Amino acid sequence: MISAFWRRWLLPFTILPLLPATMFNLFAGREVALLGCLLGLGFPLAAAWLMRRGRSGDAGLAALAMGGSVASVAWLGADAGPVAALVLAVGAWGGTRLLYSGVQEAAPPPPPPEPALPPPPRPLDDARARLRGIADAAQRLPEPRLLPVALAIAAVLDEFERRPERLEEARRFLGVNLDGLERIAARLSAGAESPPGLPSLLREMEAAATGLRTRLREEESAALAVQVNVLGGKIREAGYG
Amino acid sequence: MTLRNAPMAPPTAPPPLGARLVGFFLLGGTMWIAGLLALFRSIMAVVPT
Repeated sequence: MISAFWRRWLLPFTILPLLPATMFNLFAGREVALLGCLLGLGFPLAAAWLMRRGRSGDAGLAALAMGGSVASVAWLGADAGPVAALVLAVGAWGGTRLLYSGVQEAAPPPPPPEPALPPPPRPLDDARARLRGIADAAQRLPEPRLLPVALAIAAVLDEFERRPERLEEARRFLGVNLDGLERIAARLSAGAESPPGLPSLLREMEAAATGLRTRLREEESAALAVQVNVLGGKIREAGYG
Repeated sequence: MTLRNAPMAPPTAPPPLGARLVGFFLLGGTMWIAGLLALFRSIMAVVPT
């Protein structure tokens, strides 16, 4: 482990010895030497950015950047020739390698999480899919009463799904209402003219579905009321009330 | 005789402090030499002898 100071702030401070030569070349108007000095200033900053990123292999890249900095300063800035530049670059590279030997690097980013599994199928999903088809067809048809019937049946489906013990009753209800509604929607989609009795039939179906939903809720409410009465009686009998 | 439950040294190696110091001075010295070399040679190139 290496402290944040060594890891983040040491490499930017290494450009301090290069600043006098940079300023001198700037004022002397020596363009090539100035370019070498500016490269020498830029590479350590890139190395510091690499060390701050800290991915696997970044310490080696930072060492190469420090070597490149010194090489550009010596070769372009000092016009010292390739041999001196290489010797100094090897020194800076090796120094950085030693300085950051054993540095803790972050593991490569984890693979993206697998997409969430779809929810388990519910027993009335097929009926819901059929209802969705009816609702889609109803929006294209000139008969406006289909959609409320489909919505009422969907509400009944919600009630039945909360009571898995009554799925058989739900299937009987759907066998009559949903099949009929599907056939009506199919005929209307095929271009049939709606007969005069159709609006009243659809009203009846909607009323039946709404009534069934109300009856289911009332049954649950009645069961709860019985529970409350029985439990209250037991508590009073036991002497806690 | 070593006790069975005696505390042992942690399995990780200590940080290589000597290598780090050598690297610090090598890098710093190289940067100073490069900076002074660039400054000196620039001055010598500009100043007429």
